[in-house]
Amino acid sequence: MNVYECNENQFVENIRRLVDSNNKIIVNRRITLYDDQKYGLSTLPDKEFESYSMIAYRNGYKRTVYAKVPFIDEYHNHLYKENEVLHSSSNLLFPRLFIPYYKVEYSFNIWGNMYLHSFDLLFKSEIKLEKRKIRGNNLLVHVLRFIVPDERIMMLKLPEQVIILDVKKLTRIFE
Amino acid sequence: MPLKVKSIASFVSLEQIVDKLNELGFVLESSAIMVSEGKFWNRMLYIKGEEMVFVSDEIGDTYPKDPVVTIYGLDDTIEKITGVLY
Repeated sequence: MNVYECNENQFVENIRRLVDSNNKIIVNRRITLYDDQKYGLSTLPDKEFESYSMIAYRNGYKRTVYAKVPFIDEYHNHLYKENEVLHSSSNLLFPRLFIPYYKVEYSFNIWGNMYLHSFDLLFKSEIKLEKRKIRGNNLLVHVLRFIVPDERIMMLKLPEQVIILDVKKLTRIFE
Repeated sequence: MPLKVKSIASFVSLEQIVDKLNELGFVLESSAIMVSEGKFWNRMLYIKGEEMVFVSDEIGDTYPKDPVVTIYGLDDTIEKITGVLY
């Protein structure tokens, strides 16, 4: 079986053409939550890094990121100290502070070939100053929260004639 | 009338696309940072009733920019939006 990777434009248009030619299409959809150190602050584009600028600083893209102030990463239940390295430029593959994301995969099979489109959707950040009890003291501290993306933005809207099946795991069997 | 889909990668600016969507009565419902093909994109969802338009715009100073517009809408809406994309 050949597996063809498509971008969104190609994937949607391929389905539209198949529907227009009266083919019945079943599309598999897999949405998986990951929290695996794939996305750290050093490799975020400048514009996106700005949303973390209250708690972190860096000298440029792919440069080491440091904590500007002490803060709590509520999602991972971790307290970072001021000037602690959050993502080192010498270890870009393994950030210490990382952003959770959903991996969205759409695929369909036709005439023995698989057509696949996938993308990652990153959680948004929200930073607030809150009172927290740290080592017995009530302190005002920055709290970082990761917000789940809107469910609708994870979807590819496909024609009504297309049947979408949600799946958990894709296993390829080669004979 | 059934809604149809159309997806286009266009070289027109994001501003032109958003202006057209606003003119047609679409409202920005949500946005998220998407990573696809090793690039970061701002993915936006515009809604008007049952109709939906997804606009994905690459983040950063890349050139040329080719926002991907995926429309789920009536024939008339698809025609009007694609009018600004070509």
